[in-house]
Amino acid sequence: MLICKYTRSGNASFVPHLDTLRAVVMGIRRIGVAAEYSEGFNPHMKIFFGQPLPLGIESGCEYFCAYVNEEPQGFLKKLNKSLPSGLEITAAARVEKDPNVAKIMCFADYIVTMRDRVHNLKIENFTERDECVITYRQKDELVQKDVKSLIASIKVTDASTVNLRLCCGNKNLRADRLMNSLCEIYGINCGYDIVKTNMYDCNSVDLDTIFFGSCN
Amino acid sequence: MKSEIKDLLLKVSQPARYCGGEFNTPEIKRNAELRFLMCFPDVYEVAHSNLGIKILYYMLNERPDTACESCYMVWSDMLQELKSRGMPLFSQETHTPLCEFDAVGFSLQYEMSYTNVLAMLELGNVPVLRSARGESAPIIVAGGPCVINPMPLTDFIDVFSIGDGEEAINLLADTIIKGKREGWSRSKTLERIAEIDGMFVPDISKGKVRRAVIDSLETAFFPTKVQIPNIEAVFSRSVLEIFRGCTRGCRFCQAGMIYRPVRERTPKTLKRYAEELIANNGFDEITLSSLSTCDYPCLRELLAEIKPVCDARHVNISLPSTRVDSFEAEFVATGRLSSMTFAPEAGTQRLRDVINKNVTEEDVLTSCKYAFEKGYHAVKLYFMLGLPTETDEDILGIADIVKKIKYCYKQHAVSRKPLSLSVSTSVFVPKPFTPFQWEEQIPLLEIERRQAILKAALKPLNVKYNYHDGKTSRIEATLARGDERMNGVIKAAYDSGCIFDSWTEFFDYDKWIAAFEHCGVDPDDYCGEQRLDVPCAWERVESGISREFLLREREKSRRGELTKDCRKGCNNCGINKEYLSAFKLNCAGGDKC
Repeated sequence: MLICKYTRSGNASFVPHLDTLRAVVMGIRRIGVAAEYSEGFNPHMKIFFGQPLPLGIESGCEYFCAYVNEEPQGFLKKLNKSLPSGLEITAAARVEKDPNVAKIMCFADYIVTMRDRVHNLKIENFTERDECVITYRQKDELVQKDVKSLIASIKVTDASTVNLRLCCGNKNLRADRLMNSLCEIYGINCGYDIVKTNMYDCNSVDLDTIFFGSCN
Repeated sequence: MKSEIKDLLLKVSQPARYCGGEFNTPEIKRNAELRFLMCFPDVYEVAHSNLGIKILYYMLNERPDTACESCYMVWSDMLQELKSRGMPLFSQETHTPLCEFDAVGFSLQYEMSYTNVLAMLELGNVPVLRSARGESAPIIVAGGPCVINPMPLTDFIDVFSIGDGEEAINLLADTIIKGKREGWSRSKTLERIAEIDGMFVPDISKGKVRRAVIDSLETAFFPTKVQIPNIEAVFSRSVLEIFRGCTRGCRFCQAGMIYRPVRERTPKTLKRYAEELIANNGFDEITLSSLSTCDYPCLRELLAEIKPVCDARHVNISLPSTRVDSFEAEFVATGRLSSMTFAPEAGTQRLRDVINKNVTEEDVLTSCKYAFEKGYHAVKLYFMLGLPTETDEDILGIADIVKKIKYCYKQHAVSRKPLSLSVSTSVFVPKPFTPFQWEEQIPLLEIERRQAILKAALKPLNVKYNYHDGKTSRIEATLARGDERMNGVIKAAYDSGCIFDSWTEFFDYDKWIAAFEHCGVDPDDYCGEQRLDVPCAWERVESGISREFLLREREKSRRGELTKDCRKGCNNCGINKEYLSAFKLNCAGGDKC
């Protein structure tokens, strides 16, 4: 069994979660590596991903666990030649049992890059409010929600960069939804790009440390 | 990715349709002499199920002087976004606007996609009317089965590539490149294109235009590395084309006529392609594609060769909708237990004889018995309503077959699940170059009456019944048998807002009827019985199937007489005279492997 870390960037960030999974499965099938399959009439390859990443957000810290018995570095190299552009495995290691990425992921860091320099980028004080209400559209309905408990931190590092740490996993706050609301509330209209950079478990231990220890 | 495009994609549903980056995308040459755009006038998921455009796309990209990109019809939300932003329709690979290509090709697989061609041209900043295109506009090419009758589209398409595209597309590319090098005018380029076998250029081509036929499939290009769509296609599997053409001679079937003669690949070649397809693409299923796969004389040998390869890589082999009389029960039973699909087309033996569908009720039941004994519990049946000479008794015959299959399941089923049985009917649409090309399509009210009869007959049997909308079939008939007057109707329908006509949620019959009225054209001119004493509009094209053969078949159908499979001896359809080299090469082997 291998735990793999991968990045999703460029065009691949518009590919839905299940199709990303399918792309990796097809990649593994192409390189001809023996993988475990489920039982039943329609056997499928045993491979498990974390929680879905919203469309349009790039990430350098996604993970999956594949039931293959391969030497990690060789597998990484082979599979990278067999993945669509925008998907790349950046680390792989053997694990004894499936760590269940979807269950243990709890927080994530994001870097938001504004497309212009914004003077007076004061969105940090949003978290000082008693209620942090954001507004977003879900299935043609306008939803209002207090997300204070889902924001760990908002830090403005320069006129065009914001660092976020948000709940990510079973309790989840989408970075794009938060940023959309913040831009509306603070009157920012220059557009921005979001990259997810790190994921943590419930004790704020980086998943990299858990899966790859000192080798990463 | 440019932020402009990123922002656009975030506004639409399924942005993966438009973002590009598909695995196996070839390198798009930057300094190619010819920039070609291969278009499919339907959405991404449908387009990616089509083999034809993949063949041509990879052939063109293999040329050192050509860069071929792709483009599909955008869904309605994307269409609105593009329009409101003033952005032109662009290619998948390099996001280049459609109007900047040297040539743009459309694959026309079904008539109801015609208005989408107009929509894609307009969105791509190319004048919809051929007459309005200037020197710098791309040359608009159309191919695929529908262009066997090019007449309804002569106002919009510069070049029709009729028949097999494998040789034609290279000659087309050569000509356009030569024209660019030597600075030819648009009209000179079109004149030269008209000299290529199979090319019909409106206003320039003279006399009959011959359908292009490649002599052998064995030596033809076949893409074993294909683009893997970002989201699942309608048919998500590797396609192995084992032969082209069909020897059955069903009298309603256009594909069975216009792809003649049958040209087969050898098991040796197919095995090599199967191995490459599996290694290059990664699908979990491979389909052995053709018009009648079970007629392939070497099927058993081929399956024995590729089965171990597929099993080792967890790849399932599927045979497309099979003809019941050749159902390979013992083989399919070793694959995944999915449902079985049979297309008896008509409910009684009398009517099946009229249409030359050489299938008996016993064939159906024998196949079902085998399959039920192997554990199958789902059957799909396909029929056609409105076939020539059909009576109510023929329709009730469908219910009889259903009853017998249910009884057969009771007797032979090993599965503990209840039998899942579904019946689907389409409406007969008379098609050019078939023995039924002169027949009438029954009127709309009669279509609806017959559907109601079958619905009532199937109701007590507790089976699922799906039927094609009669109104769509009616418009399909006018487009299939259309002449040049239909150009105006298509334009008027498009101008009034018709697009995605093959999608029930978009199809607007009333708008089409208004378009006919606006142009002073009567749809019954095309849906009614056609006169034998005047040439049909599509006889501008030489398909290789002789009028005499079609008339002979028509007479035989009226007498309920069968015509034997071509593999059992030549029926003299005209291919033996018009395409002698292809005939000699392919029609001599009979039914032996």
